[in-house]
Amino acid sequence: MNSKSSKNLILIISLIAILACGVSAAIKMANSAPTYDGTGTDVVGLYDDPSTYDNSGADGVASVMVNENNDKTAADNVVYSVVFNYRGYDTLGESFILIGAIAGTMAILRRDKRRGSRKIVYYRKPADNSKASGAVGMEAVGDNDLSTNQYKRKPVIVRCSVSFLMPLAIVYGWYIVIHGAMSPGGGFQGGVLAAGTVLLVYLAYGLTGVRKAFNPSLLHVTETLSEMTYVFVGLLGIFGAMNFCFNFVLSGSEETAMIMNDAVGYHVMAGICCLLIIMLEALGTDEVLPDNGSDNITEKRKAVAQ
Amino acid sequence: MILVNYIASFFLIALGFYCMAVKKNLIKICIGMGIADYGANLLIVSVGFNPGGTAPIFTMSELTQASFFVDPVPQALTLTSIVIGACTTAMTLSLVIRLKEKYGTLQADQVRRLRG
Repeated sequence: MNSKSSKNLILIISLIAILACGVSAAIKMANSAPTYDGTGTDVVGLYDDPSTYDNSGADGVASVMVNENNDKTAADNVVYSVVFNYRGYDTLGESFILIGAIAGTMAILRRDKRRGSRKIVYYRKPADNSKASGAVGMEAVGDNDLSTNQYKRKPVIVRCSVSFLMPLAIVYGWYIVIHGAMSPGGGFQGGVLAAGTVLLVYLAYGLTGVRKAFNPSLLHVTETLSEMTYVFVGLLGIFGAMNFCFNFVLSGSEETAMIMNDAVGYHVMAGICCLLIIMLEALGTDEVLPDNGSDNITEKRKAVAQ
Repeated sequence: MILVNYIASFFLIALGFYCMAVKKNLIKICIGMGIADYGANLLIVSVGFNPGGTAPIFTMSELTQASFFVDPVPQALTLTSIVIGACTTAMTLSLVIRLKEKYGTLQADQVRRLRG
């Protein structure tokens, strides 16, 4: 038996072991009791008078959270209050994971300083009928002598449908963010949806359009500012002699989680926008490279640099 | 009924591991990581499910005296897991972009400097 078939045998055996353990665990879990049995909780009574909760019969942390939710956080959505009030410290760390991912992507995809910044060549329709040198029927221009409407544009159907869809995407994303308090959703999901506009702009107007429409450094600065807003609102609970991320207002239906949710929504939107712009810049798709018979993009770039 | 969810989640995790171990294309390895991630998310959400329960939201037009909630804590944990999965995928894809630039290939067994 050679090494390749023995490797395959080990792989098949380990996958079958994972599946067998998984199925036996699945049958065991499906037959066990649910982790939180909410049948005894009077949710209508809790909503009508939030202070009537009774934690004496609570059988776990979920039960305590559901019972105390309306009295302590004033948020209708329990998942939302778990994320932004009970586990607000964890959400803070989660946002820092996003910042870490952006910093890591920037570090991985950064240009080598010694090689200088790569000059990206765009192609446009020639002003006169002179013979173009680059792609067929197109004339190569640099980044600086490029004015609007001159770079190669995508088909008109894509541009029109993107112009129609872009406001809808932004409004839908921010609808999900702002309605996080009373419906499924919240800052993380809505922020990612709103950040999809970068890809829409890229689809219709290419990398040049993304560069003209978005300012990555401004996005990065405001992202950090929104994270500071989150920390500030969380700290207000401590200034009010309560816990970090505690709802310090506690009168009627006002909730501090709303501000934290909007801050996280903006943070995620700006962060994912930055991430997408960095990756699109690294791909550099509007670049026109000389046709030297090689399919390898690295060799073509080396040929341009020489 | 919840048994289907559990088995499907373990099946997705095994499929993701298979994809990561066997495939040589780096993009396919990323997809395998994503599939294993989604299997784990499905598993966490399914643990909190309670037959007959509603979403843990106090909306008075839909709640009655008899209605009860499912477990809200696994749903909040899944939110964390999804964000971390997205960040990991972004980092992996940027590494793949760099590898493609440097070596000109996406095949994992061709990305090597030393031969022999």
